[in-house]
Amino acid sequence: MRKIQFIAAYKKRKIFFSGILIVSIFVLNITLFAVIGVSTNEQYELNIERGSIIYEIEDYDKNTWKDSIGDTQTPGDFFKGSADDIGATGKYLIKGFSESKWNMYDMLIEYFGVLKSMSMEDAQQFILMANFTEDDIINEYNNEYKVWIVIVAKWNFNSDDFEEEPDEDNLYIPVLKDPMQIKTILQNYNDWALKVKNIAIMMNLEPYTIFSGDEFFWQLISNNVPFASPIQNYMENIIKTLRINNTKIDGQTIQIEKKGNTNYIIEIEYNSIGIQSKIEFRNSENKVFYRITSSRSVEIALMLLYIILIVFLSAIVVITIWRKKIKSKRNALEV
Amino acid sequence: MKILKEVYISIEPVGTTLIFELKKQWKKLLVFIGMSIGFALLGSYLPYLLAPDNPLPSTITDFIQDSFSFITMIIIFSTCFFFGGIIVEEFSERTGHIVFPIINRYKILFGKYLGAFIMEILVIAAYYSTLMYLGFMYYGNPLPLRIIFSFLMAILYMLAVSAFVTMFSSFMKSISMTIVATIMILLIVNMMVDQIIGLTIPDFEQIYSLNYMSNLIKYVLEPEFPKERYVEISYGPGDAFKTKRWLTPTIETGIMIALSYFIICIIISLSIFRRKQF
Repeated sequence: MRKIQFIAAYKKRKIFFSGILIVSIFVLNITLFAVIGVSTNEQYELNIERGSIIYEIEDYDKNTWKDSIGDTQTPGDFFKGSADDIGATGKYLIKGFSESKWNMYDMLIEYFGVLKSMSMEDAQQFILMANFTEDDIINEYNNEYKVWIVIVAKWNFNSDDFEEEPDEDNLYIPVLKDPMQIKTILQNYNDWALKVKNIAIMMNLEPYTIFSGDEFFWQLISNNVPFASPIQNYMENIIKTLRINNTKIDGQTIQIEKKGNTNYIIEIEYNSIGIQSKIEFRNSENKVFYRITSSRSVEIALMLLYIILIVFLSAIVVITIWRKKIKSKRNALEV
Repeated sequence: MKILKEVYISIEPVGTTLIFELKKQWKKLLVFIGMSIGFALLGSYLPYLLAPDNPLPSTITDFIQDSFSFITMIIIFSTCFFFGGIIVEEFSERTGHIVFPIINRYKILFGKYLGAFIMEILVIAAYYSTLMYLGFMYYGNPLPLRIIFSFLMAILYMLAVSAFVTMFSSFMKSISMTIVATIMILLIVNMMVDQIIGLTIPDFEQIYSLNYMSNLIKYVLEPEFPKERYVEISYGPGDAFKTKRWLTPTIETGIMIALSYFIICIIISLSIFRRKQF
């Protein structure tokens, strides 16, 4: 009789623990897959995740900055907001992602921000004078680009708590599925910018900048455009196609050589989702004089979930053992 | 010391009933906590899991507000299940015939009410904790402090609904009847009455309605409480017909609605409870 009771209790416990295990696996599984959006094509995949990346200015040596870069440029010129305050934080929120096909018109609007800084009146006049309509641009440049679109909101560096509303919202950042196409995009843009230069001058507007490969690549970096995986291969292709000479790649890290008062290096580390995770400025003696580090809200939240689950499971095990001991004591007393 | 002892003796039955209630209903509590977490995930997690191109709202407040679609339903269902049997069970089980120990019936009722109320708070806390966890996962720090006000409003709404269910429990004949009747009234009848009054007397703010009060749970989260608390809707040929849709009561009015329901319903249920024979 006692043996049957023991077997029944054992089976019951087994079912209970199996249930807990299945629920835990299910919860973790859902948590992981809700944030990771793996999009694949033949060569590259975009391992982007919904969530926030919090950047923090960890180190800023003003004197070395002046010696290496000069007085004319401050961290605020490289990164928006109070980037020259140690401890200031900025946020990059990935709101969603999708796949699409973009034409050159989309690229000019979203990638190069054409019309964005103009007033409504200027924009209307510019559209008329420069024939800047989707049809006209497609007629002129009829390439189509397969892209992943990452929807982003940004909070600039700030020494206080983050404001509720982002500084820049609903930015549609395209990530090219074929990085080699970046050359065509740059050529088309430069060609277009040259064509509308006189119109911009006539309208008393700042003419659109003609970018070299280096400059355009720096634009991508400073706008924190995500890169597809494998990151090393993806970036190498961009560098090769844009014929950039001042940049080296080592794994998930890129090193850009720049010249200010002296030579200095900007080293940028990318995380597994293809977003910048650490930025360091080094002088010619390899001394770090400016550093930005980051943390991801998803990683912290997952760690928290693991801790909660471990505590929960441990508590159940402890309670079960404790109850078992009490039961066996009672049984011994009864006997 | 003697006074303290007397106080302890008078409170003890309440505490014993409370603990008994917690022990008796813990499985129900677990089910509702599970449901609460499940519904929170359903409203705030699945939409983004299933559609990667569905972008997150820009602010954490918008994210939490969008995820409140199930909160009133969870409160109504759990309250009906926890409070449905609070009085009717005493009569159906004929606990009044128990000879020893003799416990004041109001102390039993208070202990049961308190026990159910604590369990109910845990259910709502599970919903809010899930939302806060997801909010933190997506947006990082800081979480808006206004979520505490929203939680307090949810508790206030729950207090009113619990008193309403307790009132039904005092004159109904079985637990299941109480649960079905209160769910029907709170979910369907209340909503229908609101709709009819909204269409027939659009200028009248529905300060009689618990359903209307529950909108505060969402709107109290706004960084600035809305000054215009209604929207005007035009419809028909040439927008000939106009109506108003009231969004939320003011915070003071909302608190007043909830407390009025609580006081009136508790007075009615206590008077019925006193007169009813075992």
